[in-house]
Amino acid sequence: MKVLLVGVGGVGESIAQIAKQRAWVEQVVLSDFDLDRAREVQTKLKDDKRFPVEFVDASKQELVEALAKKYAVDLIMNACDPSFNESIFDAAFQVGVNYMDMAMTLSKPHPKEPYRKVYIKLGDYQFERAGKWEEKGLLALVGMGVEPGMADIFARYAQDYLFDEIEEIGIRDGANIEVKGYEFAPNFSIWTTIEECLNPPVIWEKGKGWFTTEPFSEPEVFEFPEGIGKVEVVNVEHEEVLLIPRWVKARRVTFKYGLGDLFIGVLKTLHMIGLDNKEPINVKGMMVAPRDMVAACLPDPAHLGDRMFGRTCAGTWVKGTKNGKPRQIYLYQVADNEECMQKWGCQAVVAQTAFNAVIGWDLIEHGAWKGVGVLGPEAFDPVPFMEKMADYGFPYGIKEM
Amino acid sequence: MKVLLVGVGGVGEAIAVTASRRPWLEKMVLADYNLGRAQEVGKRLGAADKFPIEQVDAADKKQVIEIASKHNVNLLMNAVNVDFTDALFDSAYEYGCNYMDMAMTGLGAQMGSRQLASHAAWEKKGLLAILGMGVDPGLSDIFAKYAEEHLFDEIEEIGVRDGAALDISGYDFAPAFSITDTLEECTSPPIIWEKERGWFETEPFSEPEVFEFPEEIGPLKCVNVEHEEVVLIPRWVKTKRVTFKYALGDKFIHAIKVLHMLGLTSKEPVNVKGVKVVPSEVVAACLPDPAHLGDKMTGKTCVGTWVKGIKDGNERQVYLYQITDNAESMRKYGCQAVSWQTGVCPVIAMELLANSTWNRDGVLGPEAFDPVPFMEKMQDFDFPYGFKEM
Repeated sequence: MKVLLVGVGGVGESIAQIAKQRAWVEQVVLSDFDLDRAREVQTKLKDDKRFPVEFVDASKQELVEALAKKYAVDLIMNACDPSFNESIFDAAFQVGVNYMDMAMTLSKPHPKEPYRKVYIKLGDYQFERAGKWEEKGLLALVGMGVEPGMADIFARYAQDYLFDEIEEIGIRDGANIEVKGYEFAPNFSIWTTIEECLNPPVIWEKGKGWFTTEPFSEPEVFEFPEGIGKVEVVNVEHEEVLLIPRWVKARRVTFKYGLGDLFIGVLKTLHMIGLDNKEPINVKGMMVAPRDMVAACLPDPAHLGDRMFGRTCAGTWVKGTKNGKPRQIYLYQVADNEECMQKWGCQAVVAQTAFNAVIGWDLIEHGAWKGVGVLGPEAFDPVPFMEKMADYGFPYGIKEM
Repeated sequence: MKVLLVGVGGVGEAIAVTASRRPWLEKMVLADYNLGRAQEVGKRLGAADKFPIEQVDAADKKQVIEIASKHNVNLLMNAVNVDFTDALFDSAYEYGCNYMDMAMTGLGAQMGSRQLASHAAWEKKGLLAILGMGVDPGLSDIFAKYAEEHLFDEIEEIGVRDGAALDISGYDFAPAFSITDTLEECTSPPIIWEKERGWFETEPFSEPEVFEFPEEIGPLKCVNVEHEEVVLIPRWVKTKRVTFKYALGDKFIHAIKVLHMLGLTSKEPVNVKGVKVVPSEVVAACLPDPAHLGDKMTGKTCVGTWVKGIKDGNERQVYLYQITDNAESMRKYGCQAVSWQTGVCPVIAMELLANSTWNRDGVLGPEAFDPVPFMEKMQDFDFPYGFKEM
């Protein structure tokens, strides 16, 4: 399999490291806007032929197409921030290769009632084109990271094997990771974090469909496994809420994130001042997007790995009935930072996102997952995926609650 | 008097509008980096001969001196951000005119030390530089001097206290004063002066206390903030302790702490996708321009000096203050309260220089002069002071 990897940030690097161990991965083209960053990763991989570097401006569809053709790739793997999804997604369609991403095209809030109604939803742009992809016999597997991705697969597994009827599916994400030496250092792209945390969170309910709430709504304390313990989680806009109801039968789907008070305070302040704005504004004659400035001021999460300590947990809580009895379970994956650093040289949060995409490649490459059109991870058989997890070094856990 | 006004932001506009009504003003050159802004204010004032417009880079001494010479000015009024203070102060000296500003450069106890060190040279050249001649510093220093000379036999503590009850409709967060200056003073360690210890630093936002402000402003929580008065007052007024406390409000303090933690208050350029940009300037660009907030603002702002000491063997505490009502400053001068309250003070000082009531050379703070003529003029400028025994 030959892959064009667009974006070699923290997750991109981790994808390349994990893919390197797999003999069936013939070539991964490391393309980035920051060529130095691509070279930095190439040096770590120590196999320039299998991992060539290329400059790419992901907002320019023709540049992405040219690279896909130059290397005759089978798949374009999008590991950029989701503001570039359209051009990369369309490039794959145009060239006629499969496509995979880990976040879906961005939403736009309702112009009049942003905290009640949905308007343009996550992934709308991609799902609107599903028919064309199907006609062309191509597969776009969207949201194939950990969340969305593994979390969706867990939801599907719960439906197929653990429940007769599902009342609620709630993705719950929490960590006890500390970054030493920094008062404040998010371990994931701040750009994406601002996007997902300040957008109106979306909820799906049977009969009501998708609707939105105020940011940080419905706080609850969730008990995470393996020493992480109790963390307050709040509603955040996330792809699973858009994906799961399309393939899994439930009465309600939510996504809640353990952000912590400090992080919520920071996000509220950024929003109050307008520093979350992703549109360029005039700063003494230069056009700068305030959100890009925020990202530039913070340490790059791709370089924080050796200062991070603790564990991060992604998982799917499901409530329903089995054999006439109420049941609640939490299917999860816990990644320990020191372990990830040792094995992959990548920090836990990015490694935990990356491995899922590589398992996705594996299942497509070997015919375990077959499909055409624009599909979410829960459209496929969850068992082969979950069987591969331990082999890739990221075993799952299950907890009856 | 011919004045070169460098910087025509909110305060610069207030200076020009207030000065335009005084007979001694022959000319005031409106100089700004942003020519459009200078034109906007010039248009308001009308008389283009009396208020000529110039574009200036305040960091470029040559340009400043050229404009000063061209208009033959006898005072350089600095109304730009403190970053340009050194260049403007030196330009005035080299060109040979008096100088006035409303904020000082340098960190902590070093604030203004560069300027004050050149006192003898200015004196020798027969020139005067008044440092910190806005409302606080400025009027607050004059109040301290007045307390020493007329209200107390002995002073224990002088505390400048600044608080407002202003509401800006349509904005969750909109500082009424220069955002870059506010970020700078709120993130630098506050300083305190004590007779035995001299100047020393404390943690940002330290020693919170509730101060009862007059009229409908009422009780507000005040915290230590780095400010010029703490550096100026002990040089000319006898006391045992000097502090500056600002009623910032919890929301504001939280926002400043977050911005500081994220590195967004920094004045050092960072690389943002290939462009060098100063973080604090991005913050300022996100927020509404304080010069254009007047018609959205309601309420009052208070600046004053609390003094504790002994008079005739009895303990005494007073608060000398000035309250500006936004509705009134807008109606009478078309300027928002915080800008106007700052801008009117240097104009009163100009008037005292024009009629030689204040007549000294060298580099001095406002408290180096007789406070009485200044305070007597205040009423005449629609700028009355208040007095409260506590």
